[in-house]
Amino acid sequence: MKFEQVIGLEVHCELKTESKMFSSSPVTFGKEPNTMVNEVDMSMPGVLPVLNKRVVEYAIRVCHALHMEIDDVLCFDRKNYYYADLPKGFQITQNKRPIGRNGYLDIVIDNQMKRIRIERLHMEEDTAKQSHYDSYSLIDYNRSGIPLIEIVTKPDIRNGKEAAIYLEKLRQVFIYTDVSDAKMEEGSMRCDINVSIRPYGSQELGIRTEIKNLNSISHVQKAIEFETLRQENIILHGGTITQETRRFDENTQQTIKMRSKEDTIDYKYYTEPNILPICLDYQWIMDIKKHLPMLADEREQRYIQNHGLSQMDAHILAYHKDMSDFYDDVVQQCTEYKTVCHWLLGEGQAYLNKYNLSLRQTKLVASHLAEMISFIQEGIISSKQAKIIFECMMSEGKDPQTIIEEKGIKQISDIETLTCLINEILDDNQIFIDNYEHRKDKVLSFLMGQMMKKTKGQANPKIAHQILLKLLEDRVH
Amino acid sequence: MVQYSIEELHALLISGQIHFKEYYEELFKEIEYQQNRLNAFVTITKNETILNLKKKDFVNMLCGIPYVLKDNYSTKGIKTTASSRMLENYIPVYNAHVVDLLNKQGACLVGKASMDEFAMGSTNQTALTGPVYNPWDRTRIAGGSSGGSAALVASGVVPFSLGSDTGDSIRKPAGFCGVVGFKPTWGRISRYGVIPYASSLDHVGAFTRNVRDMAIVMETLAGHDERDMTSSIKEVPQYLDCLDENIKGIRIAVLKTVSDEVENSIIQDNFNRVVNVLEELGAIVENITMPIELLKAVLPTYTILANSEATSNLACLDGIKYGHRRDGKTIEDTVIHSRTHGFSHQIKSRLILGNLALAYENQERMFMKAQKVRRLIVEELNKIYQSYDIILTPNSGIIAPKVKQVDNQYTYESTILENHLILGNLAGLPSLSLPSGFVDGMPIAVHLMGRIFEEQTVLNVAYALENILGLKNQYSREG
Amino acid sequence: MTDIEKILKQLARKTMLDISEQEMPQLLEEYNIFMMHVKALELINTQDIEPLAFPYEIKTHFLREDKVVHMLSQEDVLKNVGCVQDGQVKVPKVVR
Repeated sequence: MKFEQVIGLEVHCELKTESKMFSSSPVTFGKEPNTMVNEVDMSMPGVLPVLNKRVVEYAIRVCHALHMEIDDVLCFDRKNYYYADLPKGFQITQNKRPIGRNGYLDIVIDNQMKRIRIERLHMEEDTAKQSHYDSYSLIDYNRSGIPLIEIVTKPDIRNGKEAAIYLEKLRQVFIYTDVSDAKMEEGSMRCDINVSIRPYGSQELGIRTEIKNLNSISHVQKAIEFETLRQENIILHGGTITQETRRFDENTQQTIKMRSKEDTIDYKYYTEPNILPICLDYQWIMDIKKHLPMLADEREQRYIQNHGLSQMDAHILAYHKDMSDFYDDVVQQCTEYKTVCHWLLGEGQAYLNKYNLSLRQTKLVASHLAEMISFIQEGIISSKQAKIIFECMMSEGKDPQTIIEEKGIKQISDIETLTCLINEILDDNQIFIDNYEHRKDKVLSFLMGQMMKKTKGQANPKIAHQILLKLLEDRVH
Repeated sequence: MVQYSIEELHALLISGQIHFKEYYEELFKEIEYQQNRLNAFVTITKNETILNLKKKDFVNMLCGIPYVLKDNYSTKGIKTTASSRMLENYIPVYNAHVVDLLNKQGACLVGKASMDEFAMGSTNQTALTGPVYNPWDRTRIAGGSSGGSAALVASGVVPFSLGSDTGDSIRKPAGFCGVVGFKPTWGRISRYGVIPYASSLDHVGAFTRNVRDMAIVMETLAGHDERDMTSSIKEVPQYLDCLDENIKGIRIAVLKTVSDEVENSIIQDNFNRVVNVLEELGAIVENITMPIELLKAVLPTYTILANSEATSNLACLDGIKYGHRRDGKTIEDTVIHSRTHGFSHQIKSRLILGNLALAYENQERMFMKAQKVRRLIVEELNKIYQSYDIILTPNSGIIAPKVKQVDNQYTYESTILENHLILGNLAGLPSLSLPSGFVDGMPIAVHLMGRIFEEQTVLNVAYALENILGLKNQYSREG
Repeated sequence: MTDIEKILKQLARKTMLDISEQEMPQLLEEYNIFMMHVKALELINTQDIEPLAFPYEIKTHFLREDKVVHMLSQEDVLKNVGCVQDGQVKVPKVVR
């Protein structure tokens, strides 16, 4: 029997607001434990939550990016459970009325577009962070109260690869809408997976298991692969799947049972009595949409259609947000689209790879790149010289003019000077002139090489080439 | 003598007729005396208060005025126990919003008052520090849950105190102790920093010995607070300046369904007299009724809602971050041991039953049902307020019961009459109990309930009534 | 132990509380009263009635600006903590 996988994903993403979801203490990562909190985050007796406007704005941004319906009244619920990392003994979340419903995200698999439907997006708060030791655990409340959005798909995903592509694309959405760093390795993006299998062709849903708290895309893929095989094995041996919660063990690369359905926690959701329903201004919701940064797909299309970039270049550029943002800055000042793109994706990317940096970590300035390209265009510098200048711009942040002066880089384009120099070379190489008629290309390239050697590469190759041709023809005839 | 009202003491301080520090020295002697008699304090902040006695200009009405907080108001650096073993040694690191407001005015906190544990009770016999006694008769209870705050105003120690009111926890003890007790509209005063019982029913409120003082306190406390999303942005009237004893044409509904239940003939006569006085003052007083089945549903609705909300509000008390901690082998054991040992039995059973009502399989039948009945009750009250400004009832059909004669069970006086004050919490209405007379030497009171955010009307009617009844500024130092 | 006693004991555990044998009779009594309250509400017709979670119907527009306004010192954060290690709250091992 062949099986089909049915997968739904629940993704949590921490929002990079200044202050927390319900308190005015800062959102930070990796700071000294328990220094970034106030009484609200510690749930000291008597505290009350006050919702951060920016959290709503960020949630709306992502809702727009995922083509969702947005509720104009915000309602919050209490999710009641006891856990060491949950200081209130309940989490404030949106159970009954999530802010976003019924959206989608299109992904491309093997050149085919596939639409993943999104069921809901809601806002909630993060828990404190625990570290576990042999005989005790330590709790740091800095993370307590950091805003999260949770995005739940319909069971539209069919395999681990699709899941991975969806997650990567969703990560891009978070980054492009500028709501999160979405770093899975730092836990600012986390994923739960619902997996079930069914015989191919069947429309019924099988019994699903939930795998909690995956913190890398490759783990998600591996967990799905393992879980599918596990479920297939059970069914092929005549067993039945039990609804349960599992976790992925990184060491064994297997999923391990945490609790069965009978132990499912009853969260006893009810309306949070300290937060009245909040009316959102329709105009505000629309303004957020209007100011939404352009997403990757849109950028790619624009690059192809308006800038004439190749599909491949446009795609690579659009999916590196910092690269794409930088490109957009440069082309404000220089419309040599392809040249700008090639410098960024060629020399630029090579430099970043070499030093393991992101573009933002270099000192490259958009106007400098635009200027450098215009120097090439005007023949002031050669492409070869430009490479030296470009590396210098990235590492030192100087403008091309300064670099040219400091390094003594310039191009000899003056016809008189070049003519004089070429004549000197020709005088010294009569034997090549004699061979010119037979082996034109070889002779030309040898003489150009001599010219570059003599000028230390500063001769304008285009002009020098023209003069050389003319002088050779003159001498031969 | 220390038993001045806010206005009297203010006048004496600003004119220099009494010496600020000497007054406080005498006051703390009186406090010691009354504490021995009433057991109403959890903490007396003598050292902190004396230390903070700086020269003040006394321009603000509350500047230099001593007051007491119920021990569920968070006070920075001062133990806040909610009268529970769970928080026996808890020292907050922040002030409740209203405490900040009173500090800004220059009011002087002299102590934290005893209460029923976590405000769950109506007798003040469940406090960790033991029962609070009634200033008019030490063999009787002060009532609860804000019993300490009520007793300390009623004994003349302080001219005002703050309490909290989830069912009737200010108004019941105010009536038993013969002082004015008022909780304004839900959302009128910030609850930030008040240890919650049931958030959708919890109100901040106060005790004073006359209505003018109440207007002063309300003016100070009311208003929007950015730390409480449920606090209203509505403008706060100048309650004192707007106080008006002319209540001609005010429409008052006498809720007969409740007042007819009074069995004690002196209380009945007293209530009738109040009705007559109001008529004489030119108010339009008419009898109305409410469906009896809805009034009978008030206590069940309240019990289910309050316990359910309490179970999650008190879930933060796990011994980990603060409060009573008893370690076990695992974290789970630690939490269970801490809570089991930190809470008294009555709290435990309320939390367990609240959890029952919220459980997935019960929520529709219990918690949601109660929320639906709540809507029916509120709508019924709103119908009355289409035609009337005030609903008038007797505050209680009895005088303060004898100590230990009452238990803390749900069954305690579960009559319509004894539970109707809860209406004010279910609908969040501004509600005030006003001393109206005596029975066997013990004070009795009437209860006035107005439309939401119409505190002024309630205060005006109470003011007019108080001027005729002649019971303002009463207190009992002995007995 | 009766079924109801078992249920109450389980419910107590879910509320992170232990109920002793001595406490059970009183809890049972309170449970019975509570269930009488539940039954009392069943008498009231609430068909098509929406639950009311607040004292009155009200909505707000108020949202907080995203600013860092207030933090506590680590000392204050840990002031009431029973057991502290390395600036963190120490608890017995959390069993996952």
